[in-house]
Amino acid sequence: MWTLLFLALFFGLLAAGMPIFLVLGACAAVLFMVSGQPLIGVAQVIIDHLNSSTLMSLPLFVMAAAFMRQGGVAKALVDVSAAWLGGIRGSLGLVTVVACTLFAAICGSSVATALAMGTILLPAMIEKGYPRSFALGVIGASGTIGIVIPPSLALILYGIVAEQSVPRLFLAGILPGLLQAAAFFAWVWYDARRRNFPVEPSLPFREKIDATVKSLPALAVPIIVLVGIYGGIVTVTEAAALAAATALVVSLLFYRGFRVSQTLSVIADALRSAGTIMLIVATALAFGHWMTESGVPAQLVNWTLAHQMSTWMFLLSVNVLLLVLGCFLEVVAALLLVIPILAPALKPLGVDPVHFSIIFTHNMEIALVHPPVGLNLYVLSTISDAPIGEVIRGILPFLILLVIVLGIITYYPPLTMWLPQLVYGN
Amino acid sequence: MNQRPDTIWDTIERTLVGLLGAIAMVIGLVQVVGRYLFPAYAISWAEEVIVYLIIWGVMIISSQLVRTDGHVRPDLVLRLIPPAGQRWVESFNCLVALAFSVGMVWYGWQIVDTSLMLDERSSSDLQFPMWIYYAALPGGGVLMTVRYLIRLYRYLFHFDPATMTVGHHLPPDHEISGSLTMQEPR
Repeated sequence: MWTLLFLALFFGLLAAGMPIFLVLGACAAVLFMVSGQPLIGVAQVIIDHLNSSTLMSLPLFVMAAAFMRQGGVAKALVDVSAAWLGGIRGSLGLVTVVACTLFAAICGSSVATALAMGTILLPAMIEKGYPRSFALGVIGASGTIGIVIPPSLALILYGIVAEQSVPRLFLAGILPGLLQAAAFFAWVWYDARRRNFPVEPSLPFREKIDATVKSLPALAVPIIVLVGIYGGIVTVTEAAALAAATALVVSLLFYRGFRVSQTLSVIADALRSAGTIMLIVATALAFGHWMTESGVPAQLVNWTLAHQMSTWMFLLSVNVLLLVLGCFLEVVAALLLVIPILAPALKPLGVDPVHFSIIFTHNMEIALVHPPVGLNLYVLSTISDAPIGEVIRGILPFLILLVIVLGIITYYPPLTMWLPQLVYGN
Repeated sequence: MNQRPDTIWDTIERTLVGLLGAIAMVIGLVQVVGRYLFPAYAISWAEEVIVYLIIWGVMIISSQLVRTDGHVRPDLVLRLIPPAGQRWVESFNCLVALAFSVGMVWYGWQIVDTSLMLDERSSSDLQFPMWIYYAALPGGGVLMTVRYLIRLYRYLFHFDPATMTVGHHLPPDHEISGSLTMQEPR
């Protein structure tokens, strides 16, 4: 009875268009009151959970990505991909996949990746005579790579909530991300031949080298992050600060997308968008705190064990649940609501939490592009003035590929686990 | 909510947040560089101070998030409601938000007060007085309370269906900020 009332309150407030941090905060307050705990507990949980140095890597990575995006790095990455892929049919489509993968190694967010690349590549593809639905599809789908290739904001949050090592999660995301990129690449290559897309002229060797040299400063950022973290030189948070500082220097010195005097403004904007996440994190953790104390996760574990649910059945039902949730909630909110409940159930069911993190983020990638509510769909529809139906038509083949890749990730754990186990052992 | 030009108050908030973020970045850098190049001057409390700086920054910027309607929210249902209805739903949202913000101020202040009374310090070498960090909560609460009061006032007495309904301040702004992103400076 209480549960039903509570669910009605939760979804009612969501439907009223209330900010998500507020919905979670209000619900947490109601739960604390109903269970007779003083409300000061909510405030205490919020301010204590925000006091996490790992969590601070998130705003710092957002800052790094903001410098890179405003600084004109996206263009350098597009140029270097275009220089090497010229001469192949449908090369701009292939460029999109490669440039998005490179940008994903700088930026931890899918929508930001789609946006950064879309604003450059969409007009270019339309001008060269690519079908608009294809252009929108390949940009929207390739953008989703941003969430799984490190640094990934979603994996940082997962690491905090599920108490897993963030560097390990980052490693786990690399191969699945590359597999996804390879699948997209192959499809674009095939589709370009089938539909006879335009060919860009192949550039002379000198220009290829030129474009590569120009992209090197941009690629320094992911290299610093990876070497720093996996060389055991810095913590994740320090790596994020280092990435932000490098990105700032690179943007000001090499690409000059903004001026020194605009630096504070770019930082304020970065903190603004990181702030939307941090506030949701704060109230969601208060919510999750109550949830854990209420014993719901323990009941879930008992229930699944009592029904002798096998691992693959559990994973399949989680996949379906997450895809449905993705229709209502965006990545951060879904993660913060679901992981506190599911995380305790993973070990007893024989699912590795690191493996599960990639299953989860990949599910959320699909949620970002699956009709009717995927966020990437709306971003693209907005920047291109194309009706949402056209975006969906373009993204459909990629959506099918994403589901196939999800199947592989879910039922072939070595793809995810091999790299972290190689570096850190079991 | 339609976009108005920045007032001095907005500029102060944004500059302050920019500064807090910049200092956080530099302190992280100093810790790493110090540890490897100048061990004698190395600091060990960078991550702790980064938390204090960034959380204060986030709490201050949440005021801007109310002003520009930047908080992440699903508005699918809201879009189906006619403007007159939206006005009341939004006013209701403001009231709940006000209750929450006032709660932040009230309970946040109690936490600060207790911490001051106990003279609570961080466990690092720095022995940072924790009330300064805790004060971010009521601080952000005060700013949000004021912004939500303004928002509520506008929905109740100066409602303009042309600019104050959802769909008129569509993405790229708030939907994008919805998903782990950054946006162009406005």
